[in-house]
Amino acid sequence: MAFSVGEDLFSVLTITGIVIIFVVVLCHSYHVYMERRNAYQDFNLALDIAERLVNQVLAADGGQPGVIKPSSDRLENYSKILALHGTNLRVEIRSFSGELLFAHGIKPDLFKEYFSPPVSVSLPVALFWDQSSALPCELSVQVWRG
Amino acid sequence: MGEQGFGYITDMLVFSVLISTAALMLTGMAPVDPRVDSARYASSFAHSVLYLLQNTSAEQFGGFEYKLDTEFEPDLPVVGDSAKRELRYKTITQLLAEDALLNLHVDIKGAEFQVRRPNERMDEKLRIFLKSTLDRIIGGRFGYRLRARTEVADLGSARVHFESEVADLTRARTQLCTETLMLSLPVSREELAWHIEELTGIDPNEAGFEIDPILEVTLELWSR
Repeated sequence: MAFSVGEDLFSVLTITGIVIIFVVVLCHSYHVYMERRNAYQDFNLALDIAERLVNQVLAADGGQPGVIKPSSDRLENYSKILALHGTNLRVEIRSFSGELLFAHGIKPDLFKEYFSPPVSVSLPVALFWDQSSALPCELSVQVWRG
Repeated sequence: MGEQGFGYITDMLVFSVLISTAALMLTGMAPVDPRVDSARYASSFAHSVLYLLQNTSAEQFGGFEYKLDTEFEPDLPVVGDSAKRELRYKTITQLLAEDALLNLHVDIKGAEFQVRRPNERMDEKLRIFLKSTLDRIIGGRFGYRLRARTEVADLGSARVHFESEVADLTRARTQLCTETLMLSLPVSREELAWHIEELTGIDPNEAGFEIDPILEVTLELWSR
């Protein structure tokens, strides 16, 4: 291939520049795609954990489905199992007015780089109050790896 | 420009088009925010809402009360607020079941027959109460539609049923899920048949219709 120093070299440089820009855009798109896919997977993991907490770990003994009774001991045991798989857990139960009624686990450090950023899932639940009543509140589960 | 240089530029342009197509495809394939668009989350959320309605009393959401309509019974002595019914300790699904039982609709030849009922106001008040309760629980995360209905008792000339709907579908885009809860009405099959006979003058058993005292509560969630 013979280049003439002038038009051809200029064209090659221009096109090479354009290709580099496109490759950078492609890399960025791939990064965004992977980030979103991981966020989706982490969200599904957090949802699995939230459902397990409501249906098994915190389910009130002999109670109706959807009624929970907070227990630090049960949560501690469950957190240990998750920690073995490298997953950290924080559970909060808040009233609908935003008042914190129960919390378990350390808060994730927002400025720390984790293997995966914290993802949270909230589900409405009935908190066991006494034999005849349940308090409506929101169970918030935060999950992160690293 | 030489012929080979021109060919080289064409190759690079085609290559760039391929790269941008790949980039666009990757962006399009990436999932959007799961909190907004996840059907699985919506389904789990809807389940939780229905269980919450089943387990919490009206008192937890500000209480529910209504006044009996005593206008069509002028002999009934009403003193002060004695016509007021306060149902604070009933769960929300119990209120729905009671509303269904007290406010059955009667259709005769396709048109609704206006039956005067002392608990007529309960229906309207309960819809307002349910709307504010669901707004509080769902908190704008999803659009929603809650439907409560009984099986239609087709007695030939008359049809008896109950249907109530509460919805907030402002800015709703796509339906994510539908979850259903089946509730027993607080009456036996015989009592319900007797109640229907009282309303229509037709005995459902004689009309060959077997009534199921079941209320179906369905919650749809929509993405916003």
